Amino acid sequence: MAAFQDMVFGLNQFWTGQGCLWIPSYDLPMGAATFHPQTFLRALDDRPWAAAFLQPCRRPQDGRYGENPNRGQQYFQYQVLMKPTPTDFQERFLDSLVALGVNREAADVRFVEDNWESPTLGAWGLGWEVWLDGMEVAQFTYFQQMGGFDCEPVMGEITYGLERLLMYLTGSADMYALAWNEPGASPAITYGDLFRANEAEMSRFNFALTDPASLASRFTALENEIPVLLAQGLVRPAYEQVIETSHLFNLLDARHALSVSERQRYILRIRKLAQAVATEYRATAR
Amino acid sequence: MSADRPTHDPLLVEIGTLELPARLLSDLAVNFAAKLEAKLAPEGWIAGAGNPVEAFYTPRRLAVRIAGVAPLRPGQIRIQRGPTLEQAYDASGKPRSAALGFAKSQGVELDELTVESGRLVYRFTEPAVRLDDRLPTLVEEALRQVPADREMRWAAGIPPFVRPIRSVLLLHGASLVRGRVYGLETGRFAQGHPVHHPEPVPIRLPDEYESALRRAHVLINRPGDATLREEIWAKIEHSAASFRPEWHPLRSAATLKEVSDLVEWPVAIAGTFPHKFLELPQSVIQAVLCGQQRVFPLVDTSGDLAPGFVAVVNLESTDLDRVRAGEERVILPRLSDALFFFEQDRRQPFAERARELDSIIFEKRLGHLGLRRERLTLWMERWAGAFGLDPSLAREAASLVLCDLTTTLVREFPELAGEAGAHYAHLHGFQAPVVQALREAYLPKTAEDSLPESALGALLSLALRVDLLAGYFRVGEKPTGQRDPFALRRAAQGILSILDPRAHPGTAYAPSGSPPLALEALFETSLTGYPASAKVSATPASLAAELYEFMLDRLRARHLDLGGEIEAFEAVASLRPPTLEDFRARLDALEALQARPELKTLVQMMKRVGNLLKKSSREDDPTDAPAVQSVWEPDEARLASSLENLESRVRADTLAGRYREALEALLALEAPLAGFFGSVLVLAEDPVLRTRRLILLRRVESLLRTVADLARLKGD
Repeated sequence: MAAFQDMVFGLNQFWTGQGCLWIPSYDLPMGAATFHPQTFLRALDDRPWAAAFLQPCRRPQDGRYGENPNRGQQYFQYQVLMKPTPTDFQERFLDSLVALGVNREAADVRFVEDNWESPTLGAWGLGWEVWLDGMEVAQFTYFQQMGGFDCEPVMGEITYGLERLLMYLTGSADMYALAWNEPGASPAITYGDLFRANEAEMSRFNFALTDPASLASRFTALENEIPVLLAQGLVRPAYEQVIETSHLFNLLDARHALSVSERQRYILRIRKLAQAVATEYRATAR
Repeated sequence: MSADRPTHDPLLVEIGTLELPARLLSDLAVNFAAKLEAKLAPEGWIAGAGNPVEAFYTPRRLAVRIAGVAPLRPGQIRIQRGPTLEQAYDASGKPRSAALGFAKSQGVELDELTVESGRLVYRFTEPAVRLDDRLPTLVEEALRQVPADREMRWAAGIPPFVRPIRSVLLLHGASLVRGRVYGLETGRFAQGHPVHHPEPVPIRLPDEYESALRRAHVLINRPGDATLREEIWAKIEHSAASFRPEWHPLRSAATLKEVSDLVEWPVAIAGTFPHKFLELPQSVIQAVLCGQQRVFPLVDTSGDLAPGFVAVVNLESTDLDRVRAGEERVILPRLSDALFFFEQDRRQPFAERARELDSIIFEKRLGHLGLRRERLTLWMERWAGAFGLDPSLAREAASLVLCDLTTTLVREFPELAGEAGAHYAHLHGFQAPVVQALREAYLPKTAEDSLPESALGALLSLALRVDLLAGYFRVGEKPTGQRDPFALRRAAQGILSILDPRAHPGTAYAPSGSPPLALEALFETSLTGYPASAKVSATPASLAAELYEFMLDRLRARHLDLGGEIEAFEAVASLRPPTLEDFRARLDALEALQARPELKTLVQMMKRVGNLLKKSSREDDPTDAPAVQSVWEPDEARLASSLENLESRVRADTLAGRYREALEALLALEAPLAGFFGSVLVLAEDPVLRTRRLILLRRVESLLRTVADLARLKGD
């Protein structure tokens, strides 16, 4: 597997073959695929769920102006969800690596303890980061709590870090040099062709040009809307506002606009909102 | 016993899991073995005492082997004893409630009970139990009791465990023990290596466990056993030697332990990184390689870091070069980040960083780091003299010690605090003693770690720890039971190590200060200088006293860890010696004389003295000697004159710290005291005599408390 788009197609094909539903990416900026409503909300009810999707993610503070070959403010996650979790979940994951071209006889695959926690979502899970020859390419998690509630039944989540995975598969040390389509295609497009300019501009924007005062007031406005929406039973619109507050918080953080204690307060504010949404969702879903 | 006693075969229990956390592995194995033994032993399954119970583990399994386990617990006659006949029946022979209640409690009718030796008893035969019918339940119960910080739920209806359980092997001798554990059918198969032996591994006999797994490319580890670690280390050395004969791997015990708990089939593989990263301080490179990437740095013949490393992977790859390239590729961005941070940090004058400390919270209730810096500075100034140090130098070290917390390098590598500060301070021209003190400020980091070598470093390390303890005690955050979130016990241990002269053979400074520092006083300066808003849990004086007690607790733990006796410790501790030196001197003297028979006799007699004094009433015990002089019995007079002799001498020796001499002198009291008890009636009818004799005993008691409270020693 040498091209980014082929890797995504390969994962789609593999996981739909495992009974997962392919679903679209969500159309709001988010820090990780776990924020996708089909992850967050689905983890809270007791119905079976199996889905796979690509999700563009943003972490403004990771921006490096397109100059660091390993890090960017935007990156892509591929997420697989299975509830209940099949007993051979790990084997299926390993098979997906083989489907992408990993040679199990040659590659050192390791599952190293990594306990995932999202303080803003009031969520935590237990699991592993997955190393391929020492490089972390995926996270493997059994959700234990979401929005402050125990996940029952437990939902299993695999999150592939696609840039790193392809860097591993192609032996590349530069994410921007990764082929997006077949290297022989015409025109041949790289990851850098598509996103490097975006990285440079977005880094400038995130680090220097956002207005912290207006970010903070937008945060407060959204925060005030959420209870109103929930009072009318509008769980999904309310959850969208939670996703947005989280991104605003990340933008504020990238400006170093928050002291340590203020930062902690923002996290707690978002968690409270996420918990309110989770409570309302469970009341209607169960 | 009888011939029908069943043969005892070895038992093997293995649970195959998904990858268990490396940091917990050996504890999990120990606890699983202990819990299983605690289930089997009381029910009589394990043959005899001293039957070895072995614990095993790899990242994907926990196992227990017990040498002799019975296949069957024979049926046995059980007798439950009930009330006596008098309690059971009234005069007319009607059963009372005691009889009815007993029958009910046994779940039988009254007429099923019999009478034996005047009591109602229930005699019944407990049926025989086969191991096969009992073991699966006991294994599941044991697993559920294995403690873990966080348990995972992974499937509905299955109890939680650290990580999902995939297989359960129960083998008794050559036979499979059938049943269900954690919802899984038991079997006689273990998990093999995921790549080299994906098929389940049949185990024929419990004793063939390790060898069968080795053939399936799985090396078994045992808690507390270094065999596997040494095997891996040999591979690492071999790999380095064949890579570059002039390079040698740098051993890190922590990394080796971690690596050995992350692999089942270790293979060492050497790689390189670009030469330019050697510009980084060696400790930074080591933090990246060992701490973040879990590989071993290489050094050249002169002991300097070489641009290479050895990684340990979990398979014999068909494409070693690709694995090597992969490891090298991962290390590169980490070293690049570190170099970037280092270059950035060094541009800013180091002392300027102090200004940023005011905006960093140390702890919500304890205020920002700027306040901590002021407290540390005051503390260092106050105690510098006691360590023979120049106060201005002490002030400088204190004012710089927190500065590296503002560097990007330390934010990324918190374990480099101290080390990083030393580098930047050196680059910006601070004097060598200050640089060395900054480097030593966080030593010792663990119980095995080395101590600061310089007096300034020792004082700085003390300052950080004393401030930490005082601050958290001030807001009522004392460790309780297992809970010690701020690692205060470790901080206290560090203080004890630094102040313990025996831990510093050949140091140039007096580790406890000169004169030795009083423990309570050490904390006083650190109990003020906090934000006005913070709630205080007690007055400074009572906090200092609490901190003294806390230090005493740590000292006790340390004493017991080193195999010391609790009685000797308590004998000294009850006098609350103000300094650690004084504590140690008293304890040493006591331990040196502890085997002396006179001391034992003296201690036994002390118990008697104590009892007599307790028995005597208050009016028997006036503080003034009785005015009337009556006749002294010879042994009474002898004790009085011995006391006369000893009291001034023992007190003089004690005051001068000659505890050994004082104790030696005290031993002379044994003979007169024995004589006194042999012929003199202490609690005499005559109140005058009684009082006089009790006063003598009170003097004895007080004398035997001067060096340590000898009554607390073991008298046998």
